[in-house]
Amino acid sequence: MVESTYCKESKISKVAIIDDKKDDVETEELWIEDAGLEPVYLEGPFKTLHDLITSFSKSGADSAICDHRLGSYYAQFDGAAAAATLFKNKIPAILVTQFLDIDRDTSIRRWRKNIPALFPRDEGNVDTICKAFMDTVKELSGDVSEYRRPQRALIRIQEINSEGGTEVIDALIPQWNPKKAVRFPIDLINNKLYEYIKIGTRFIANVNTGALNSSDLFFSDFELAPAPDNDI
Amino acid sequence: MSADYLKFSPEILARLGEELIPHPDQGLIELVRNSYDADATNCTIELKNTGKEGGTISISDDGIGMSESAISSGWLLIGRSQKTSHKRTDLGRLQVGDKGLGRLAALRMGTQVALTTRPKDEKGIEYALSIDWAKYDKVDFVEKVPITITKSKTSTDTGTDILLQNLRIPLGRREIDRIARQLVLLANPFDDTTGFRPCLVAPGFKDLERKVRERYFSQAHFHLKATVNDKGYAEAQVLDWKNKQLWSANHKALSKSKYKTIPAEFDLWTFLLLAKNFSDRTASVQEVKDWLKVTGGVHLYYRGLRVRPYGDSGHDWLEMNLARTRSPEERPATYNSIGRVVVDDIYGRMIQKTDRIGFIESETFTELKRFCKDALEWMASERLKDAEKRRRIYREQSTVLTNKARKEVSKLIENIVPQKQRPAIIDAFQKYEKAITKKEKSLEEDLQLYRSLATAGTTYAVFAHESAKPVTRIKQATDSLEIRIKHAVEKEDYSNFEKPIKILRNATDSLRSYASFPLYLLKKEKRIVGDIDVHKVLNDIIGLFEPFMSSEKIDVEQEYTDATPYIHGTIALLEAIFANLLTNAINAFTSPNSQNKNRKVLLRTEISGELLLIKVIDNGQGIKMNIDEIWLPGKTTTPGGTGFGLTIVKDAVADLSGKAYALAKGELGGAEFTIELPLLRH
Repeated sequence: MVESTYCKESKISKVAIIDDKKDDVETEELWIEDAGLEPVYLEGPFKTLHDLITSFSKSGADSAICDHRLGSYYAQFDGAAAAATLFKNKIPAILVTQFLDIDRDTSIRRWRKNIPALFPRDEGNVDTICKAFMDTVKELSGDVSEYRRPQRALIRIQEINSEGGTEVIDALIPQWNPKKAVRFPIDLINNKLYEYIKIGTRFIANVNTGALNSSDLFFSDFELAPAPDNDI
Repeated sequence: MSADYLKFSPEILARLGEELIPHPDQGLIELVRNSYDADATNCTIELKNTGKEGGTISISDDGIGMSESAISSGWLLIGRSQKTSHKRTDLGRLQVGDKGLGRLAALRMGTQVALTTRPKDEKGIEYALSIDWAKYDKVDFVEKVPITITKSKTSTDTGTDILLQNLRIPLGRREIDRIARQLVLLANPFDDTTGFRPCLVAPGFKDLERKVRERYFSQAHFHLKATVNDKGYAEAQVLDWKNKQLWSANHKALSKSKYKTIPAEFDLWTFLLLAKNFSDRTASVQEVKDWLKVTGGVHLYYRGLRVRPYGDSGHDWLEMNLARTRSPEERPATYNSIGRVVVDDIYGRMIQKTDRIGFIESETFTELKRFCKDALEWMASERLKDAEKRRRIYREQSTVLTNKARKEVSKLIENIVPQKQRPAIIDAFQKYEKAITKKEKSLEEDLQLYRSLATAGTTYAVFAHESAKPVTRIKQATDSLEIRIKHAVEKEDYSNFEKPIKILRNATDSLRSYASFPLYLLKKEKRIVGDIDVHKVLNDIIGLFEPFMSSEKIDVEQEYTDATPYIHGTIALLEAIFANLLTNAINAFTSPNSQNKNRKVLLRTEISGELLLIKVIDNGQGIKMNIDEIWLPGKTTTPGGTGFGLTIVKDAVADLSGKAYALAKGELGGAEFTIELPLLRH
């Protein structure tokens, strides 16, 4: 199989697969086997994230790959929630999705802070998953890359919209890119600040302003920015 | 130890004057605004010999003039931020105020300035001063040049005259037209409540003024009237041309939350610019179009005077044109509407930018915009409901009406036409019916095609990701196959597997690039309005088309301007334009009659003033159709073509406030398309 430096360094050996679609599971098994690792499929259904953690513990796996869109017959949560929860439990978990461009700003962004590695399905191969595991293992050990390091940043609301039933905000983060608005779900903001949410409002939040692509940005810990001095 | 003070080099005069406010019209308008603040009813700008250097401009008003202390602590004091007072003048005006930077820019248009002013409170007295800017070149700091204010007796009425002498740069036709338009629109030509009438003594001004004051408001098909009060609650109504209320809305119908802005009134008059819609009007559609060319757009009146750039040509600050791209039906655009937003802002909550182009985007301003946009959205929604209702009724009634009309014609023929002539009349009528039926059938077919295309699009949008999956799986399985074979066989035996694996890989790469095409175009962020780097979009589209171009042996050349042009709009609209033009070029080379061996498409960008020109030029067969018809839907010479590509280009360009042109035989001998788009102001 492939001698991947990344997989060797990450020291993982058995990967749990969390995915509801047989075809996709087969492809994921190919990647994992070709990387010299052992795949183990986690059979659902999972009612809660706690159920998932329990199943994972019993599987003997030391890492996980999660598909994002999970049918409700398999899990009552999505793959991003699963990957983030596993990560918060110190398990290297990576996320793969066919629908990155659709779900990036809503259901994935919601959990992105705890998902160090994510890739679109059509980029999946041995190298991709091994690098993803390595990045995740590094972050778990405290070695956070410059692209993932959160900074306090100013955020200015440009638009409030609705996307697929989720209320979202389009905002400018001047420290990241003063011209390109980034979308995120409104529920990332503490509901105590909801009364201030309107076009033009400025917040300060933790944002990984070193990210290269908008799909890698995550947001947390919002507070209202103090009003600017109008006396010019 | 010695005392000193802050000093200003004379170069600061240029920095704060003509460099901060580079357009001469902007500076002159500031002088006119000063006249407004001085309660003038008339203000005249006269241009003399301004077509070359050395001309003069005089600005005269009949306002309250200035006393010596007003000159000293006001007119000569540059940079003080006058807190715009909520006290009204004798004529009830709220002053628009100014830090004097616009005035400075105007005064420095010439090498000398002469001011004479006769204050209202000192009848028969005139104060005068002159400034020679050349004197400032000889000193180290500004304060070293004394300015003497002289006092004399006069019999001239109160007012102020400013003479700018020996202009440094000439004013061309374009600048004069711009000054003229700004002046005419400056003091709310929609009504005469301010009592302020600025005018320009220059050829063509009277005509322009007459055009603006013509006032075709009563010919508008829809009049939106919306207000927001001091508590942030709004209401709106739409009236027809007879002032009858069609629809009304309370605050809840417009917004879930209060508007955190100042009291405002928003009026928008929308015209349906087709001749058939003017059959019962007193004005013609051409008269209204000509009027809208000068006055169209939504203007913002602050304390009685218009503030640029709101309502300037190409400045769609309420994004009406872009809202049309999301839902083109029943929405106004800047070319068929005229509107005004009127605010008094008694407490000065809105602050103009230092260069006087627009307001600082504070919460007050953005909430004002939101109020206007919500009102527009509500009106569009009501119009759409109404249009649907009309369509339904028409569909239900059309067959009945057609049959009824046929029976009436038959009856008339029977009753009026003599027996001998009847067969000829019946025959002619039947031929006419046949022709109409044929035309209807053709329209039906177009509609079916349009619906099919739209369905293909909407279906693909839903299944785009799923349909790309099998191709991805083939690719990934091929990769895995390669790894496993390499692991299982000796190196020299692997060569037997190389060729079929390579074929598999090449085929899946081609399939993936074709499959990714629609997914690429459908990405939702491309429909978000913003500042767009045109070259980047062009390069991305060229990259996307590369497999098609390669397979057809079409050489794509790019000649871009050195600048990085930005426009305001959506990536989706730009891609719609470029993708359709490139498709057009590919079709030109792949049509049955195409003979070209050295196939070439040239993409060129150029900056022309405030416009970006994008040219798509090929060396194909050229355009064989009537050049005016190429933009019409359903018109095509491509076998199997839909005839919608160039229609989409034309519509997308219009939505970006641009223009599209075509040459049947261009620079390279084939078709040449030019797209003109307004550059983003910085």
